[in-house]
Parts: sequence; structure tokens; C-alpha cells
Amino acid sequence: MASMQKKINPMISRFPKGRHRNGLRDPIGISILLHIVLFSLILISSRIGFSRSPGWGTVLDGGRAVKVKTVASLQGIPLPAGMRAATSTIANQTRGLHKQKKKRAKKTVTTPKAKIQKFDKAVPEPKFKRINTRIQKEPIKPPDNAVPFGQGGAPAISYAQFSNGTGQGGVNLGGDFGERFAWYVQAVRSRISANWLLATVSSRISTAPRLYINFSILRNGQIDNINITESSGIPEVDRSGIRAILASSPLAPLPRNYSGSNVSVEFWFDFQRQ
Amino acid sequence: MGKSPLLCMLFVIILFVPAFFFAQEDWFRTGINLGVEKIRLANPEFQPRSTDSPLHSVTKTFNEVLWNDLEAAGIFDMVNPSFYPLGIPTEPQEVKFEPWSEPPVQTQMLVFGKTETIQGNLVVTARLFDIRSPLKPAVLAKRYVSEINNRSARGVAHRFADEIILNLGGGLPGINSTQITFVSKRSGHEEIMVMDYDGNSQLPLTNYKSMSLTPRWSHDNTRIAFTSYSTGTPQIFIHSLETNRRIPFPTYRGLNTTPAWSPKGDKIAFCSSMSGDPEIYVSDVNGFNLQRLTFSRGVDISPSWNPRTGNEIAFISDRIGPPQLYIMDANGSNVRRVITMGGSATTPAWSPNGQFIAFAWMVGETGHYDIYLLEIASGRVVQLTHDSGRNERPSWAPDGRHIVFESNRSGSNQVWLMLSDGSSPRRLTSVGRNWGPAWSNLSRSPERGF
Repeated sequence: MASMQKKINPMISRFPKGRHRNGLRDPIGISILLHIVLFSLILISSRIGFSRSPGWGTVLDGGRAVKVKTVASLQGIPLPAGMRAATSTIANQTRGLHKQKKKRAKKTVTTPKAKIQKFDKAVPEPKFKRINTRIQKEPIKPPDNAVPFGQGGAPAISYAQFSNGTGQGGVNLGGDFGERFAWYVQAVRSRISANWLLATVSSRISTAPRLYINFSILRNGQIDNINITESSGIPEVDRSGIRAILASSPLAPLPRNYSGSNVSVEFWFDFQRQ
Repeated sequence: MGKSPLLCMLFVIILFVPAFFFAQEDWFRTGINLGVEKIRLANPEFQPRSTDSPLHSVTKTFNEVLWNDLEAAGIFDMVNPSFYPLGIPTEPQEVKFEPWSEPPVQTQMLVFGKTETIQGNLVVTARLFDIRSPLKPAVLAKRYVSEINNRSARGVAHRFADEIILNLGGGLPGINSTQITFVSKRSGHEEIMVMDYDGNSQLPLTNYKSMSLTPRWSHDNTRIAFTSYSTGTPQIFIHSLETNRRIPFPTYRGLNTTPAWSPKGDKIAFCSSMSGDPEIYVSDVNGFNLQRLTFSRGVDISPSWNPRTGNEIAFISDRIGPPQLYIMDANGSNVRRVITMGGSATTPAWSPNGQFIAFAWMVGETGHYDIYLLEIASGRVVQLTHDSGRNERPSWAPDGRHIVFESNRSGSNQVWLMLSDGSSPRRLTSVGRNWGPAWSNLSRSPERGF
């Protein structure tokens, strides 16, 4: 059997048994020794080099070095406010106009210690108090000094005023015409405001004092007898107002159930370039 | 989580940026009488007084046409009929003001009335009430008598709508009785046709079995000038609508096209190559006093008079490269280019108030023509048609609130109508190919048929 083993594994048979088991001991020792020598050489060379030339960041005029302290240690200097996370008032987490999509639940590793509290059980929903609806059914009493609907009085937003790209304006008609024929006043206002154009005033003028123009509307709707009663002080603006009124002639004929032959109108313009 | 602020910012931008641009482009609405707030108006259906079938039929037509006319006027905010209270009034004493003045109706004006048959005629009693003035609400009270047929009922509805628009629109007449002429190839040849402003009653005017193009109305709507190829070369033809015959006009050598009547109707400007180069000429309606207005190399074409003054003519010229929009005095002097932003401009049309020129313009980036509006005094330009095919050949309605034009947005060339701010587009033609529309003037009588 012994002779058979030698024949099968010749490598084992060349070395003695103890030497085969501790074969790496010598190379490791040599390697450790060489590493120690190498590190010692590096340390020696770095010391020699540091003493010969200044390194990065060395202050060359060594005697005038500046002492630096932390700001907190100086007295009388206020510290700036700490950084705070600002919350945007425009973009926030509130619900928008559109239906929010359901967010996908992130896979989170839950530990058995941090249990999610069940909200419905922990905080019960408060019961809403019943509103006494009888209060709303009671009729609203109008104030004593209120004018009945359609029977005169100044409206909250006057039908006789307008605002367009050129500015604001308004119209007053003589007597009770404005109250009786509000639709006609509105039509006059709309037509004249539509003909008051920004392009008729040069771009260097941005605003102007109020301009008052008086004119008459004849029975057939023709505009007559145009007068500037109070100038804006700027001829261009005055001309733009007159041009708007002239361009609106003829207006609609006066209402049939209005007995007068004409109606006098005061129109005012507030030029304001937007 | 990180995407939410970005989405919110995007939402804010989407919400406010268009409003900013619209505010920037709102200036021109003042000049086209659309810059004022709309009047809220309710128009319940007129009720027939008897149950006979013809009256019901014409009453239905009347109601449809009246509603469409008021809705298309551009100055009314029509109250949805589903909000109307029960009990539609037909007489003044039946009007209950509170239901009409309170929410959800909240109307300012109420149109109501009735139809009946008296001595074989259709009698329509129509009223307009100012709901805000219950003590004296009557604004209009009209009675119309006509034959009992749909054509007459349509005419009555147009006339009452015109009355309402005249009174509530500040004296600007309605356009419901006006007509539109256009070119149609539905018969196999390019012939001139005429229709109501809303696309109804489309009737052929010419039958030359040739090419007839660029029709234009005279100031009194009694004649139409157009370009005809029936003699072999393009010539100016004038057709009388009163006699239904051709009126003599001289023929010239070469190309003769794009006629334009002066506002007084005494002169015609047109493009002619009688001298070799297509130039703008002007002559009397009978061909006398021919005068050449432009003297430049290249094509000068498509004249359009300033209808307000009659002292200026807009035209297209390619004298310095691509076709551009120019204005000159009516005697040919003082020629100036009014669009300096490049591109290619065609078919100018001067607005009735003389303040705007509508024209088709192809700016390099778009690759096709769209309708634009130029404010002459300031030189500002606003685009009226967007992302809807090719849009060309605008023509103004006499009220300045509407524009008719040609567009292929539906797949083929058709005549379309829109408000002058580019809103509410509506197709008027659908049979065959139709293009080159021109709107009539106001003075034509609605009763005059063809």
C-alpha cells in the first residue's frame, strides 16, 4: 500500500511532511520586513522634504499671522439669524382645483415597535351641531331708506360708467332721462367708449386730468352742439374725447316715448394708459 | 413629494399666462365695438295664437332665426332657456319682473311676443322690455305683417333683430338683413353666388360656365363687380342685380382682376397688366377717366378703399421681395409700407370705421396664411385665426363686428364667419368648394330677392 501511495502522488513524496505544512511562513516574514523598511523610508524622506521647501498654504511672512476666532466668542457683534425653511404661499400642499391623484404608497420597512395609530379609533369624529334653519327662512327686512328695484336711485355699479383700455369714463343725461331710459344711456356709453381709442393719444402721455364734454342728442340720434366744458389741459386728450363722440354719431334714435326733441349729455373721460 | 411644488407652479403659470396675453391683446376689441360688456338678454320663444300647422311651422322658423341673429350679434349674453321661469309671456301684462330679474335668469332685457294669422297673413307682435325698469319697461314694440312662409318669417326675424341691435348697440345697425357674395364650384365651374349673412338662401348669380372670381358689392348693393375668364382673358365684369344683366365695362389687354368700388360708388380700382406689369388703376364705373396709380416693378394687386374717407387705398405689392401690405392716397401718391415684419401678406380689407385693415399673412414660422388685424394709427398687429388650417380673404361686415373669410379648416375651402376679435367661428357653406367671400353694405333692402 505504501509503495502504491508513492506512485500515485509524487509531489507529496518529494518534501518532508513538516515542511509541506509551513511553506508560507518565510515569504510573509520577508514581506513584513520590507513593508517596515518602506514606511520608514517614506517617513524619513517626508521630514527631510518638509524642512527644505514651504508646502501648500504656508504663510511666508510668518511674523504677521492673523489670529482667527469664532464669531461667537466676540462681544458686541450680533449673530445673523439662522437659516429657516420658508413655506411658499403660492405652491403648497392644499387641495387644488383638479382632482388629486392617489399617491402610490411607498414600501416602508415597519418595525414592530412603531405601530401606526388607527386614527378613527384614537380620535372619534366630532358630531356636528344642527343648524337652526328657521333663521334663514325669515324674510329679510329692507332698510327704511331703500329705493325699490327699478324705481330710481343710483345703482351700485353705475350703468353710466365704463372702463376700457384707454381709461375710464361716464355719462350724465339731463333731467330724469337716465332713470327712465337706462337702456339708452347704457347704449350711448357703450358706443362712445368703443370709439375712444388709445391710438389717438401719443404714447408719451400716460394720464390726464378729467375731461368734461357736453353735447346734445337729437331726435334722430345725431350728435350736435359738442362743447368742452372742462379741458383736461392736454389738447391731444381733448381731441381724442371729441373724436370718440363724433365717431359715434348717429346714435340710436331717442326713445319713442320720450317727448323731448333732444337730450343734453355730459360725458367725462379719465385718460389713463395701462 | 418633490413633484408637487413643480406641478403647482406649472398650474399657476398655465392659469395666469394666457390671461396676461389676452389682457395684452384686448386693446383692439374697443375699436371693433366688442370691447364693452355684453347685455344679458332673454329670448323665450314666441307663441302662436292658433293651432294651424303653417303658423306653427313659420313660428318655429321665426324663433330659430331670431335667436341665432341675437346670439351672433356679439353684444348679447343670451340667457340659457333652461333657466327661464314657467309662464312665457306673450302680452305686456303677463310679464312678471321678479322671476326674470332674480337668479338664475338675471336678465337685463326680455324679448317676447306672439304670432298669429290675420286675413291670411302672418302677423308677428314683438316686444323688448327693460327688466330693470318695471315702471316703464317698454323699449320696443313692433308689429310685422308678411306672407305665411318660411322665407318671410326669416325676413321678419332679421328685421326685429336689427331693431334690437340698433337700439341696444348704441346706433350701430344690425347686419341680419345683409348678404354675402362668394365664389362656388359646386356646379363644376367657378360661379358667383349670393347668400344671406347666416348662410341661408344660397343662390347663383352668374352662369358663364367659366371662371368668375373676386366679387365685390357696390356701395348701394345694386351691382357686383368681379373677374371673369369667359372671354378668354381675365376681365372686369359688372353685373346689375336690379336688371340681372351685365353692365358694360371696358376690356383691357392682359390680366384685369381684383375690382374694388370706391365708398361713393363712382369709381372702381382694379389691377391690370395693360402696360405689361400688373399695376393698380382707377376709373369711373363706365370706364372713363382711366388713371394709373402705381409705378413700380413687380405685381401691385388687391386694392381696398378706406370706406370711412375714400381718400386712401390699401394694396399688396411685391416691389421689394415677398408680397407686402402698402397704403397710398387715392391719387397714387404717398405710398408707404405698413407691415415691416416680413412674411407674405395678401387680400387686405379695410374696416368700416377706417381704423383697421384685416389681411391674410403668412409669417415664416407658421407655413400657412392666417387672418390678422392691423391698427393703422399705431401699427399694432393682432392675429385672429390660430391653428386652424389656411385662412384667407377676409371681408368686413358693415357693423365692423363681424368678418367673413375663407378657410380650409374643415377639410375643403369653405366660407366662414367670425366676430372681429376672432371668436365664435361659424361655417356658412358646405356644398362643394366655396371661397372669396365679400360682405354687402347696409343699404340693400331685405325684401329684394334674386
